[in-house]
Amino acid sequence: MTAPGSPNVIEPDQATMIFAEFAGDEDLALRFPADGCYARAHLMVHRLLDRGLAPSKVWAFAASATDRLWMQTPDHPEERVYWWCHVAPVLVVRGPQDDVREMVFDPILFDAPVPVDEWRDALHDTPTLVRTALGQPPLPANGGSGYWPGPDPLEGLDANARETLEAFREENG
Amino acid sequence: MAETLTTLSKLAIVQDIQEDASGAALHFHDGGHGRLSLPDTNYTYHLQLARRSQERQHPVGVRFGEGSAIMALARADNDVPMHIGEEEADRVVVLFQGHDGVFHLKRDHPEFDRLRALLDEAQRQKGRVWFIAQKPDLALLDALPAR
Repeated sequence: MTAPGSPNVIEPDQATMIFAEFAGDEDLALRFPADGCYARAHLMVHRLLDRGLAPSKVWAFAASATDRLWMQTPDHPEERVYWWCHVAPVLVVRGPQDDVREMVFDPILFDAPVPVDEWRDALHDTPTLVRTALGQPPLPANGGSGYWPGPDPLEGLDANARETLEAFREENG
Repeated sequence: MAETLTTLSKLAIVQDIQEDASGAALHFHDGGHGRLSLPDTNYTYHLQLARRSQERQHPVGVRFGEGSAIMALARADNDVPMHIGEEEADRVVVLFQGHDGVFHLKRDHPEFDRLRALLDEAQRQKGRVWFIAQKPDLALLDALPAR
């Protein structure tokens, strides 16, 4: 299934190159996985838009407030971080048999683009997935413009994203 | 270090900034004041946070040291609490609608009762709060209703 807002198909080598740029991007504060996926997704989406691509987002929501998503990481004192939700950008990538697949670009969890199912499985839970086009909230009852699953931050989306990740870099050493 | 942060970090809105050769004096809306010292490693970042607070009239986290010395400024965040859970013995779990991370309010926080009541009320009202959290454990240090 093609996500809304993702009509473009990119080649695998282009996907690999884009992912490598994200993985090496200090602005994304990848050493602070405990929070901020919404800000990283926002910045990555804007960089994809700047390339003329048409990304969408995929969201994973924990089964409950106590049955959370998690990942192992050396970048946290407890070597594990928990989330109640997680989000990353999605592009449609041509496959080896000239098929096309939705691939998730999530340098917090992976070192290459991965299919949506693999991304979901890495979150160690039974999350509910929601795909959104840009500007579309994943939980409409909460409002907002799809930056995160709630009302938009008071300082604006671009400022929140930039300053959230800046604070992670500055305050996390 | 964590205990120091818990004890001393507070949210405040910068009203005025007066720079001089050795740093910057900050005056806050609540009448308080403090001083950023130019030799501090993070002076440029802290001054930037102070300017944003003044321009936007949004709070910033302030950690005072001896006298009026400001040891650190920290970016304040805003969001709507959606879950406040008792599932852990030494801390209350706090989830926000927007943030993906799992925040905590430690039961030994000196202002635990005030912060818990504020978060409970915000959750009931679906109201937004300003908050600062210690990194990387996301322990909440202070919170205020967002007006």
